[in-house]
Amino acid sequence: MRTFITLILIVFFTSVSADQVQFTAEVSHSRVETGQQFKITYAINARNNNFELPDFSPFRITQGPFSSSSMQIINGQRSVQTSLTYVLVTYEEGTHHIPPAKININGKVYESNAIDIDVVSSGSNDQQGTNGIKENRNVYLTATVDKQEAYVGEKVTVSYKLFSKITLNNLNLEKGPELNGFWSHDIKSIYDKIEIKREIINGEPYNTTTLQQTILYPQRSGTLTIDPMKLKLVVTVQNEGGSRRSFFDQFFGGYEQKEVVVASQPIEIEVKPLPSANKRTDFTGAVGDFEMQIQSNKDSVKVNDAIDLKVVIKGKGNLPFISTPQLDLPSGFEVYDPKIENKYSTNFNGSNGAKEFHYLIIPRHEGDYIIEPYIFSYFDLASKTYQTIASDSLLIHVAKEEGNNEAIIYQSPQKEKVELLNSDIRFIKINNLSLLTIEDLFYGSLSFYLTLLLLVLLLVGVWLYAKKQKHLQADQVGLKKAKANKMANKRLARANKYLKEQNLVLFYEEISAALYGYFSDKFNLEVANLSLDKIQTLLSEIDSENSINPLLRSTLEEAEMARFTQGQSINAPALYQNAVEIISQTENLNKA
Amino acid sequence: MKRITIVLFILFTFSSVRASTEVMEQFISGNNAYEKGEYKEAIDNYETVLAKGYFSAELHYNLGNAYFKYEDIAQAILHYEKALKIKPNFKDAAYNLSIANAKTIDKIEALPELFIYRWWKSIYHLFSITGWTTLLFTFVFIALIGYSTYLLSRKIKLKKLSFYSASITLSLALVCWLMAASQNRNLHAIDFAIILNPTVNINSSPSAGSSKLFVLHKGTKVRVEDHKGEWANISLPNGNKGWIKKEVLGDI
Repeated sequence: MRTFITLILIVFFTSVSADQVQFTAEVSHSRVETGQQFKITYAINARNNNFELPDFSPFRITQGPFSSSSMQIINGQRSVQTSLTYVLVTYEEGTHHIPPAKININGKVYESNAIDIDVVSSGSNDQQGTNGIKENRNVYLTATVDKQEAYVGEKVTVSYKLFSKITLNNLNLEKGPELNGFWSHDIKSIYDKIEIKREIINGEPYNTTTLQQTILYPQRSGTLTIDPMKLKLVVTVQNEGGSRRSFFDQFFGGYEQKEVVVASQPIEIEVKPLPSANKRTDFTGAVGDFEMQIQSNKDSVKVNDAIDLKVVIKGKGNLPFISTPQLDLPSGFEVYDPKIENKYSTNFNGSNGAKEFHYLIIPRHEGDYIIEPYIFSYFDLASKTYQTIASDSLLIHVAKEEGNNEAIIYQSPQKEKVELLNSDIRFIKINNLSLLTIEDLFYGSLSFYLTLLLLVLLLVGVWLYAKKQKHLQADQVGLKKAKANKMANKRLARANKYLKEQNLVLFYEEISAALYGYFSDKFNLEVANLSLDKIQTLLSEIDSENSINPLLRSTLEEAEMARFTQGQSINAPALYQNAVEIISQTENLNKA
Repeated sequence: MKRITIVLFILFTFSSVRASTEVMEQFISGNNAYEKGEYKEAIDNYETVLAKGYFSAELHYNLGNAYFKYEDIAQAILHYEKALKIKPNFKDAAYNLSIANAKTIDKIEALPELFIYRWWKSIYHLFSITGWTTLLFTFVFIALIGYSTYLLSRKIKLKKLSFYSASITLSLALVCWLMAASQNRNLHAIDFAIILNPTVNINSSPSAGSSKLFVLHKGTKVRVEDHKGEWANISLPNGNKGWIKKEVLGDI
């Protein structure tokens, strides 16, 4: 309000020299406490364009810019007034310099005045962040936080305290603080019993009461605002002087009931994200100081018996926020969502106690299982680092379930498999049993190769035999040939003997047999296959002069004839001489 | 004729190798225990026979049955597989194995096999190694007779006929040899294993700390590809691979 009036005044006085650009900066307080918000207003008697903000550091803009403009026509002269207002705050003590802002009007740069601000410690109030705009000093409400910077999940306490110099008749909550982005838990609520204390503040006595205390856990990073709390109070005030004061009022010192609305200031909390370095992927969001362990109610069960596996996280910190740990259970276990038991309390120091996750796990197959250690990590605020705790690994023995065929229930066999499942196996073998050792195997053994070798040798033997036979056969022919003359001579000698004995029948037979036998041996032909024609054909092949054939024919025919005619009219000695002649001539042919 | 008798005698001596009567009696007492329904006792008897270094397809088959009845499916599968390894054409073992496999948890879709491989397998599974060896010698013997006829005969027709038939039988004998050699190789090598633990993790590398790729349950057959210390590299019919502790495997 005051600022506005100032602005109006500025407008009035500056409009005299209208064409001269006026660019001023003004602050609501030139002396502020740390954390106290104040306004800085830039006013210019021209249209606001190309405004360049100065570097406000170490101040921080908490609100703004709020811009306003007005136009006035005085004595026909038009003047434009524009203003920009920012709300600033700082927590650094000392005298801070706000450099001039710049504005560019029609190519000309104007600068505002620079401002120095004295920032003093918030004095009697030892808690950081008290910055009530104490406009109504009779009754006011403050909101204080124990820290203005916190990590996500770090506890922040906010307290609302009412200060009053006057009697409060009634107290109603007009609007509770909205705590967006925080998980909150009221330790002390406005509806609890009110305790009034007496405190001296800046030399003046106040009745104070802490109305509400809330534990906050920031849930996301960034600048989070704790919205103001608004109270509607009914106060008793003494009537202020003036003509309207009645007699009674003067006499009794008139008091009246008055409704007053007080609000705490909004507080901003800088919430820092947890560092990403060394952050495990299974980080559950725990911030504080914790212990962790895993317990199982049984370490030896049967298939399909449930086991209660308990993960206990004990300690101080944002217990409400710790999410369900993801256990690495061996396959073959069915795991159900855990039941969560909260065994902690939240007080001024934050949450304290234990959070228990009860996992119902059911082993579906027998065996000895190791539950791998669960690694729990949390962000330690003291060291600002991640800490990890590993549980012990658990050994669980799962025995076979009695009775039922285990495991079969849990599968959905295919159609053709159903039939197999319901059928029984075939009976064992009782007859024709054999047993052998690996050395007994015939294949690849010495006797195997020896047998093969034997068979091959047998074939070689047969081959050799066949070869020899052939050779022998060829030899016999030669031998026969060699013997032919000898045999013929023997026969002829015998024929000669018969001739001398005058046994003519045997003589002719012997002559014929001698000749046939001779040629049979000579041409390697069976006697049975031998005919006179055949002999003559074969003989003509070797006898080029063809001198033997006619003699042979006549001799054989004569001998034949004589055999049938009992040897009459045949010259037997001449026949004998002819036969000798034929053989000797044939022999001579061969030699040639 | 005398020679043929000797060959035949040698041929069949291997099949007539009989275990000592004491071991055989233990085998039979295992069978008796099984018949009485005392499966645990049957298992103990069979295992004792195995521990003495004796084996046979029937022994593994009976042991597999005993384990099946004793509700140890993984061991049952292991021994059926062993029986089939010794005797690939063991119909009853194959049937019981299919029943046992139906009771396992893991259902792994096998990748389709190449048709040539299927043919090979169907031929391979016709006989056991003993069968193939017997066939090998029979064919070699027939071929021998054929070639002998060819060598000794003087008739051209007979010579021709005997030579061609002997060559065909010799080729068949070589096929039998190939089959027998292949079965012999498989009999001595450990290519497959059965998972015996109820649940096992398959890791990405041979160390306990490595990441877990997938989970297998007991009774699943895996191919053993490689070894490294306590670890084995295994692969599944669907192409998945990983490392597993050897202690949870039963070698087939």
